[in-house]
Amino acid sequence: MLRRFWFFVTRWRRMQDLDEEMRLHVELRAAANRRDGLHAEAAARQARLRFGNPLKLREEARDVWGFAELERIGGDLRHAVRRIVQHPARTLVVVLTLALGIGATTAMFTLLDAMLLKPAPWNTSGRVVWIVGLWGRSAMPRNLSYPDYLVYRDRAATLSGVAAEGGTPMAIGGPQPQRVLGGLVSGNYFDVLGLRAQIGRTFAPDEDTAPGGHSLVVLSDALWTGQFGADPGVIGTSLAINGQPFTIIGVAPRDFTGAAFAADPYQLWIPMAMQGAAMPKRPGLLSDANQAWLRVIGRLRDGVTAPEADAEARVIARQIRSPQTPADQEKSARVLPMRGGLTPWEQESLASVFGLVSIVPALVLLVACANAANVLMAHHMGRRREFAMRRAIGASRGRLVRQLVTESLVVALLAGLAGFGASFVLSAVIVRVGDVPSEVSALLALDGRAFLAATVVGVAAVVLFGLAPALTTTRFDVLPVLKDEGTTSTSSRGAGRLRRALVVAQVALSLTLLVTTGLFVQSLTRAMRVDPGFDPQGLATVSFDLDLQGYTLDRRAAFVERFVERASALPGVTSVAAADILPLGGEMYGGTIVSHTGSSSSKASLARVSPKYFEALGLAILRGRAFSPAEVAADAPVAIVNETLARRLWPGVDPLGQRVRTADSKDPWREVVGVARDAKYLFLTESPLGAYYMPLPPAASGTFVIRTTSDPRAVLTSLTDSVRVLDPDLPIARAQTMEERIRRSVRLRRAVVSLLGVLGALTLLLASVGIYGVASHSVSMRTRELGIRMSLGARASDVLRMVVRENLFLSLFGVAIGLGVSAAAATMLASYLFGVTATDPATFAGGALALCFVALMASYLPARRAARLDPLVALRRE
Amino acid sequence: MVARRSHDPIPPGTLEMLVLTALARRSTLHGFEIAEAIERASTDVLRVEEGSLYPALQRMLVKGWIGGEWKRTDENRRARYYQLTAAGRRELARRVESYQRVTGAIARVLRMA
Repeated sequence: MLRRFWFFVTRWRRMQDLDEEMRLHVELRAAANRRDGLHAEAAARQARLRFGNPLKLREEARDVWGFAELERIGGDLRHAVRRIVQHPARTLVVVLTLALGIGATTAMFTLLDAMLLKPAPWNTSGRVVWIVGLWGRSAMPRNLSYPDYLVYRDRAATLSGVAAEGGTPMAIGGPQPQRVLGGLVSGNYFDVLGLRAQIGRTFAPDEDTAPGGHSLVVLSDALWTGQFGADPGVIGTSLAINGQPFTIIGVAPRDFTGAAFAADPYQLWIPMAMQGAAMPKRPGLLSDANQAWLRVIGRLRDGVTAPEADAEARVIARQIRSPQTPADQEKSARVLPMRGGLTPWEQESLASVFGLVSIVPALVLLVACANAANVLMAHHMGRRREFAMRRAIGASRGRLVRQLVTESLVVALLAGLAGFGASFVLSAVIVRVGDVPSEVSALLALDGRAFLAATVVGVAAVVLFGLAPALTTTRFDVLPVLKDEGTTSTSSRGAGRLRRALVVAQVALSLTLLVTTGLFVQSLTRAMRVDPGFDPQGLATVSFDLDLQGYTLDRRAAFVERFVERASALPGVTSVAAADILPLGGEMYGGTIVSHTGSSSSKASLARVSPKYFEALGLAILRGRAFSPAEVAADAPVAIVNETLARRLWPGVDPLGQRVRTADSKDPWREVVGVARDAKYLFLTESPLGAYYMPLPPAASGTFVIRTTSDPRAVLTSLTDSVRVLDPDLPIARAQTMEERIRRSVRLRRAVVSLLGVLGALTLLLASVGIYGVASHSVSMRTRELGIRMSLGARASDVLRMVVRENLFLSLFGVAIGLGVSAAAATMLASYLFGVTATDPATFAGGALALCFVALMASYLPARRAARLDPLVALRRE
Repeated sequence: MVARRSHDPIPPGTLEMLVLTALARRSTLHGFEIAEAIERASTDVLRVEEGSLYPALQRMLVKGWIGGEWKRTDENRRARYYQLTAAGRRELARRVESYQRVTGAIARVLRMA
């Protein structure tokens, strides 16, 4: 091989050597002939004759060196480039089609990769894993309690270290007081993750042993840069967290913001032992085995595989079940690989959604390949006479196939490059419409992996769309093709069949996408049209964590009073109310409500609200009344229920005057004074929930809802200013309009819809191009036949009908298959649909009609061209 | 001239063996000498198609059976002299052996007939 290559490199010198050698031979022979008595001229002639044709011999020698192969490839390439340049329209169609397919697939892969596959930069070895709890039959991972964490830490032999992290909002002092998400972590946390501080140090394993005794904090790079200007001098200084001084001991590595960084990026870390200071509202959390709030992280011991650790975790989970509690018997545990920056829960739930959604770009690619194949095949078919001629003068079929595949390869290369560019644009679009968290989009680098993906996809595309047409169009008998026009003979039936099959497949795929998109769009619009029960327009919401800031009860009451006063005075504001929680914020306090009659209702939404809450929210009180200011101030034993709860607790009985309490027996019995309209509490798409409202003591306020007749955004801006006047050290936890909250609550659905919509439109476009291509090709192939028909008396309208009918028949066949595939796909997606069944007849019929229309249009244009043929011209045409 | 043309042509594939044999007898030869040697040795029964010698030589160079070296002839002309390599020697032995096996078998068949 090496020698061959050397021969190739030195081929010019070799050729000269050979020539010189052969010249010498002829001369020596001539000299010998002269010695034999021939005269000079005859001697030379005889020597040449005896030697043979030097040109042919040279060729033979070149073959021996293996140049021919390489030169043939070069020739094929030149030929391919020439053909590509000669047919810019065809090239453009094929390249664009493939580029879209490759681009969509690459973009989707990049996104999936960043969210679900790519390990975090500090976990490149993949040795860091999640340990999660499982409960009952649901396979969704859950967090673990601190006592459970300790068990895994002490017993897991397959793990060299087990750490825990739990996030909580903390109010920090410093130059700009703010509320940040901080991590409560075990002392070995950074060691288990394998991280070293970029300056200073991280916690020592024993620095989370004494409760309240380790006032130490490690800052994130972002906080260190943002708050302290990246000053190395902060190490050893003090930072107030929730009003308590903590000593800054180090800064975490630049890119590290916690193990689930895409979901909950942490700004700082404090030892687990400081839980009391970080979460003043939840004393005793560390000893409560029923509070599962920790994400547990393990590092696999060398030589241990994740499945081995998984098996061990299950065993440990069985050991810690307490035999007394029946619910415990369903508890189990798993070890999951840590991927992306998502929490284990998101990792598992998104994987299924994105897995399904990612089928779509793959389908688009398939359609694109089918289309490209079709266009190329149509093109190749037009060259069959040329192929037949070449076969007749000695070219082998393999030779022709190789040339055609080379041509496809060049086209695919162009498409791959264009597709790589397209994937940039598409992933930017996906990030935009899909509301991808910024931490994930930061990982969305179109790096080597993405390039590899694009390449693999591109190569697959070549095989799919290049080889098939090359094989089918070169399979023929030479003679009939040469004699005949090479267009209508039976030998082209195979190619025609494949082409038609491709059209059918495309129509089916497009219909599937169209139907799926249709179902999702309907779910979304129905979800957005759901009446939340109150009027979300003109509502601003704002919340503070007053207790994190160390406010005393008196100070809180004073702050709330002054805040309400200032907010009410803003122009346009009609009412200001407070609550401990607001609807549609992605969270809900749930509980069981018990009636004194003995009936009870579980999973009701609990809220404490101020007197003006119902007025401000626009939530109608259907019967009775709202709380009075006096009742609220005294925390009187009164309650308001919603229609659903009333119906569940006292069916057919007047709820007013009934007595209720929560399942917690320490709560007082309350008298129902009003019935509020049903509303949506957690999601717009939830099924009706009961709701239980209690008066909110002013000092417990922290979340406010403000109704305004003007723009709620403007109100939010002025509110932020007034808070700064009231308490310059108080960070605002959350400030958004109610409409923003609602939009956020449907964001995953919206992402899926926009993605499917874009891709669905893309495939429909591709399919129409495909149908058009096949129709127009078949018309041009049958020009002669159509000419004969017309000269025998067929009218233009007959021809038109005939051509359209044939293509429409193909499309209908595709539609039939597509309907079946759609039904299967929709059933798989049923759990993501809302307000529409997976077999919604209108959507299916609409999609089918849309495709038929597109097919009709796409075949009409070529048919009209056929109908306008002049029979004489058609017959004469070769 | 006409008489010469009536010489038997070389059976296909044998040319390489003949070249190897010629080179094995005389250590280095250039192309014309090889042609002459084969013709002489076979007492003109076998007749090299002279030109086809050169692609065959190239093939054997590529396979590494022979080596080539540019030298001056006695008449001070530049010529490429070929000699056998170790691989060529092995190839020759292999071919001679298989040739003898085949011809032996054919001879036996002919005797039996």
